[in-house]
Amino acid sequence: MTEYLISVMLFLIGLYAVSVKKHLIKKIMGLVIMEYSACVLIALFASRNDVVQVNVQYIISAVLVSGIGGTLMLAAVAVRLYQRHGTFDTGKIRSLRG
Amino acid sequence: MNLILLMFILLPVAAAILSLIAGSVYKKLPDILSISSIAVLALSAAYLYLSRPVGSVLLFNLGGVPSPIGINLVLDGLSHMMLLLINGISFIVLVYSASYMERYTAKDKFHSLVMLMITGMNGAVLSGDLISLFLFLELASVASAALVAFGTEADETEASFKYLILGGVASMFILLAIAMIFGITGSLSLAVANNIPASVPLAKIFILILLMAGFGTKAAVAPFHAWLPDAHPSAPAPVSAMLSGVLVKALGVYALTRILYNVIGMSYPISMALMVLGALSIITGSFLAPGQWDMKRMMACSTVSQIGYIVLGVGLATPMGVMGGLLHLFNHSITKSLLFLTAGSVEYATGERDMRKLGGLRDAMPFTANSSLVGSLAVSGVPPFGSFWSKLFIVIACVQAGQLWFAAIAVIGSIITLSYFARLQKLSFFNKPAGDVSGVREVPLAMIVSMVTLALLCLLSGMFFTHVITDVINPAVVTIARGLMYSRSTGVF
Repeated sequence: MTEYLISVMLFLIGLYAVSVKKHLIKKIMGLVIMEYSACVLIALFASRNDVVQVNVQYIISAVLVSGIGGTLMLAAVAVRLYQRHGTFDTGKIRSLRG
Repeated sequence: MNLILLMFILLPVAAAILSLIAGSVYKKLPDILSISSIAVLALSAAYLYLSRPVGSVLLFNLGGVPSPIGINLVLDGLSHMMLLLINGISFIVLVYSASYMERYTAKDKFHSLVMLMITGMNGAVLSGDLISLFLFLELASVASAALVAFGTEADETEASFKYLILGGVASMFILLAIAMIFGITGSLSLAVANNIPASVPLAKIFILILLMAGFGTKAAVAPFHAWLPDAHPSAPAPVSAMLSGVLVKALGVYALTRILYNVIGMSYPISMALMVLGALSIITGSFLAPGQWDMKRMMACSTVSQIGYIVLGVGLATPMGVMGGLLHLFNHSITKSLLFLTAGSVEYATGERDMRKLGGLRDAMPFTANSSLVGSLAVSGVPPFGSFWSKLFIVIACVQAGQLWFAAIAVIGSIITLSYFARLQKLSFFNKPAGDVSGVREVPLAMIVSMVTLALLCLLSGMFFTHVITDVINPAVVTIARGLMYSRSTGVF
């Protein structure tokens, strides 16, 4: 039971980072943490004996690869924002405030 | 015959890759490539309607492995309706973009991204298991975020970042919900994962909250709509038309409807929650839209309120309500694409989106002005256009179900929609010109053709709404009405 709770806590830590932190890169990292914790949860569920219907390793690798695509896109946009505004702080970028 | 389903995913991917290469060979080649491939897809979606009996199900197992273990593509009434909308609207919009995108430099990359987005949407509506649904959803989200940032100006990158972060959190909620459904039922197939036992009420509530927040964000339903008024206007006009016209519906409304009805199972609290979300969206959109001066931003806010109608109708969970909601989804796809295209034409001709600086364009741009008038009347629900019937069905269904307050909200929201679109018509087309309009000319032929086609579709979908209902909407309603019995009807076992 502990491992399930830990992975859910990891998810919440990621959610906290995305919603509270002002730094663009920290937000991206929060999102990645959320994704990994969800993958850990899938792996945990699959490791129970009664679940043998799907190939979980393929599923998790597919999810991770799609996540890398999203993260790359986010990082590219963040770099572009840094070039425009000279800062990673969302409080100082006009339309991202609030 | 079943292989045709695979074509809906492979052809746009191939076009996406080839158009990157083709752009360096000949400048017009990406246009030809993507328009011809999407024409093939739109025609085959229509052909599937003609060649098969109404309401039949088409199944394709990847690699010949059947459902619970293998990956499969399922075409039933609901996904067929979405497939027709996605490919049909995309075809018209891409014809428009052939002229519109001349002003942008990286046309090959634009076509590549659009084709990837279409792949994601086609895959999401066809996929028969939760993880494929999630992966295609991610593909479409990332491609659309890249398209939002396509202009690479400050506003566009900011809107794209906001969209990516909020969309990313929504995706992670969906992934967590999928993980929990997998943990409880031991399956990821849409047809098999529907046996969530009643002994875990807390987990079920948690899954429902995650799903509603996740898909609600993708669909831009009211408390989760913050990204939409920024993201949709920032994209180039053809992309805005596709985002508001089909993307929010394919990724948000379709996926939410599919999972809530066919996997979780509809019950009174879920229905009530959906109706409240829908009504809240109608109210929020009605408050946001009249305050906007930017033409495209106002239309994006109007999308929030129209999505509210769809969710309200689908959430009613009566046959009449679901039919009204899906009919509104159909009509709104056409009308909102038309409106965004006309806004794009105005911007193309004048370089201006602010309604205060426009005016007197009726004489200079007759085709754009009249298409925009048709779109404005259609989206507000004026007869004889399609949205009149769908809104009427939703209101009648609310009254039949005894939800008079929701009916009142729907009617008032419709009147407010008419008011702010009448303001758009007055300010940009009927008023005396605010500046010099002598240099303004009508847009090129390809753009006129696609706008007029969509305007005619608005009119026809209203005049022949009974045909639309019997041939397109009813099979979808039947699919939804099967609810948890969905698995048996697809013959997966």
